[in-house]
Amino acid sequence: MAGRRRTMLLAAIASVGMLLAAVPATAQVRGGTLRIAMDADNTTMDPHRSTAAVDRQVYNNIYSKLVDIDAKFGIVPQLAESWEVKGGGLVYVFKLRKGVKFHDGTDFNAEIVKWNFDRMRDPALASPRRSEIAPVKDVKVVDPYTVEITLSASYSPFLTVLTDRAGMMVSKAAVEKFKDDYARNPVGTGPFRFVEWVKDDHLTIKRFDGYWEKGLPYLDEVIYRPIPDPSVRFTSMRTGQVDFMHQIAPKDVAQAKGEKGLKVSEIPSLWWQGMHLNNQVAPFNNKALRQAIWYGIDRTVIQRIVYQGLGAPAWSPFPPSMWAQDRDFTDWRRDPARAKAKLAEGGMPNGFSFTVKGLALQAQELQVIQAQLKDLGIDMKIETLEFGKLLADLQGGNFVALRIGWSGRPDPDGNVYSQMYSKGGTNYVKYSSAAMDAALDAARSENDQTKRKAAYMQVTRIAAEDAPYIWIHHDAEVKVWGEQVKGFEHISDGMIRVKGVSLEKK
Amino acid sequence: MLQLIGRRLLATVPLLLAVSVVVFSFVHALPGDPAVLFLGEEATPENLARFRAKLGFDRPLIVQYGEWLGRAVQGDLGRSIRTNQPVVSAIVERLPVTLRLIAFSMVISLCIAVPLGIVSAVKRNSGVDLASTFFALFGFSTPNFWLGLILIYVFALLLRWLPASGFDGVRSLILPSITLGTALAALVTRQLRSGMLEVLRQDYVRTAQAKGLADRMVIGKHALKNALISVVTVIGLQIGALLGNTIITESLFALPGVGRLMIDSVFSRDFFVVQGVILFLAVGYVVANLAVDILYSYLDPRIRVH
Repeated sequence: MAGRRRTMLLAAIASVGMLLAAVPATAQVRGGTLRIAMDADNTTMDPHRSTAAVDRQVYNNIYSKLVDIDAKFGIVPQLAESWEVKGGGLVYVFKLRKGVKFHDGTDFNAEIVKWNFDRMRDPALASPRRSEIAPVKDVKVVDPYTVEITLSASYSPFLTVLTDRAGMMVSKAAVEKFKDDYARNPVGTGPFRFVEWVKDDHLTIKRFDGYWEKGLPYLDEVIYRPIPDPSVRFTSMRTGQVDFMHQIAPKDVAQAKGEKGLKVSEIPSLWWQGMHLNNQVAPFNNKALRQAIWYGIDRTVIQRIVYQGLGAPAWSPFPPSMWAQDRDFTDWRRDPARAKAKLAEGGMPNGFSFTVKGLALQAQELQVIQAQLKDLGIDMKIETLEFGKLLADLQGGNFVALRIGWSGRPDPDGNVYSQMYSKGGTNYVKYSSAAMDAALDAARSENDQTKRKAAYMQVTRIAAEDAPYIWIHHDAEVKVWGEQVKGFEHISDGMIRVKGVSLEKK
Repeated sequence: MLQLIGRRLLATVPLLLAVSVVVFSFVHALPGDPAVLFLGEEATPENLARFRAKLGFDRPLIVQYGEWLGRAVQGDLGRSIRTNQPVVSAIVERLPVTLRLIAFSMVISLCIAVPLGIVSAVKRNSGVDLASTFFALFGFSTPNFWLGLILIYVFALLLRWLPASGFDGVRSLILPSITLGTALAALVTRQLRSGMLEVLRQDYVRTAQAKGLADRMVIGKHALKNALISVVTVIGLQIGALLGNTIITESLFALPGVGRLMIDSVFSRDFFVVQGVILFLAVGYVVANLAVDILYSYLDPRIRVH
């Protein structure tokens, strides 16, 4: 669930076109070492076993995937040059790129793709990828450079799932050689190869000369340094100890923008932040009381004060970065009269009291909500917990209300299905609605984006009416770098793709 | 002396056994589930069950403890749940950073505290004494992380003399060592001052002065050595606090040390790492106190440790 360090805040407005402009193919300076400050250290270099979001940052530079996403969430070729969807969305045929080598010199081909899928699906590996590719029924090698994947049911998010860890191809030879220690000896087909990893100090990757995209990458080397404290991380950025920074505290964004020599990019992220209401216990088994909270909160004030104007108010699980967001929906603004009416409807005209659990980090936001609800006679008590305990309470259903976020997925399905489907794996609020299930299934099995969007507008409306969650905020995805860094393309998934980045000498 | 060390080390065995029981039960009593934290957003019931079974968390606690202890006495503390790295090698890898940090902090705090403590005792109620009192009060009551942030702000950001984070040679340890050592310096200053005041009143000091010894000799040799006993006691007692404070200091300055390893593993409920590190620190604490006892008998031959 939500992100361990919930950080980024977000901005509804994509930063001015400076980043969106395509990287010019010429005149890139070659060479140099890019130093990136991260918020946390990696856990494993094996994408089929990774569960930590931070791991993906390195993976995106040492592994190539079958396909990737672009800034508009379009699917673009990577190891698969082209693909075809047949059989009513059940069969995917991938034509693979020829001449691709792993860092250990072995060849990439259809056999390797099949082996990778078999590995992820092997129950013995207990791969977290297994549930992501659960619809995969069969993987067939058609010829050395053609793979056919058959699904058990039409699953429109499939290609987007392959733009993340499930689509990253690892070297069979390396896995067989290193076995469990593959996690510290990764071998991919990406623009950089793994060099060394000193836990909590640094992780180094170097240019792979045999990379399949000719002329790339520009840099010789990238060093990742985990610096957990946000203000120390920002100071390291300001003093030039690092060239690039991941995860800046909202309070530091204005400072970063005013600092000479620093560039700040702010785009909408995939995150949503909100309150989980337990739909099965009092008082929130009463729909009218959930709606009273829905109309009792002023999301705009929270965005302005708590998130310092970054990001955007949230009224659905779909952030402004996503095509599934219903931009015309307005039934989310604070309306004390309606909230009062809902209280009366719910049999609590004078208000009620409940306890919300959350992280100390979110105390400020919860206090603002507390004050807003107090005006309506609702007495919200705040209980702050440490992350591990909060997560345990969430998953154990041990809460009335619980404040936590969701890091988001590039496909809208990943932001809603498992949380709101009646039998969804992360439906901890125990929400159950036949209309919602039908809308979610319709969106999932449909491959046409216009029709999917219609289904997700339906989802937005049902969710706003039932209020199983109170969505509050969509974070901004913010990156900061020194002006010597050129060519970074900022995408809402927040990944630092380094292959097109170069360093200008100061 | 060797016999003494041997006996003392042997006596730590039951102590460590007790520590292991306490640590094991505390770690397992913590709310929060390592499987849930590790699997994060991918924590489906199926994945959770498989993960718990793989780590043996589905068995009775006493069985888990027995197995862990059995391997621990053979020097195998298990593997990290998160990174799969053997716990022993994770500790050994980070030890040099933490040891250096602690050693530097001690050196820095003694370099400040010894002269300051002596001067403020000898020149009681002078300006220096007042300043040292102020320093001690400030040093002891300043929260570690706040001092660290201020030092980073001044020396890394404003003056650009020293790095704000990371471990890159001696320079990168200066700010963390001051952060860690200031409280100790404050405490030692006060302790040494009162120790000196007491010693300076003793007859043998007056005798030494009467027979015309230089002040330097009287204070440096006769008085200081005796006043140091209480200082050594304080340092011995403070080693635990120092070890504990490395958690904050290492996290703040992004140093790859044992303290950071411990706090990260507590947050991720990486049980084997937490257990391993605490057991290891307990051994370190016992050894450090043994060293203090040995130092006593050097400083004051009347103290014979039996």
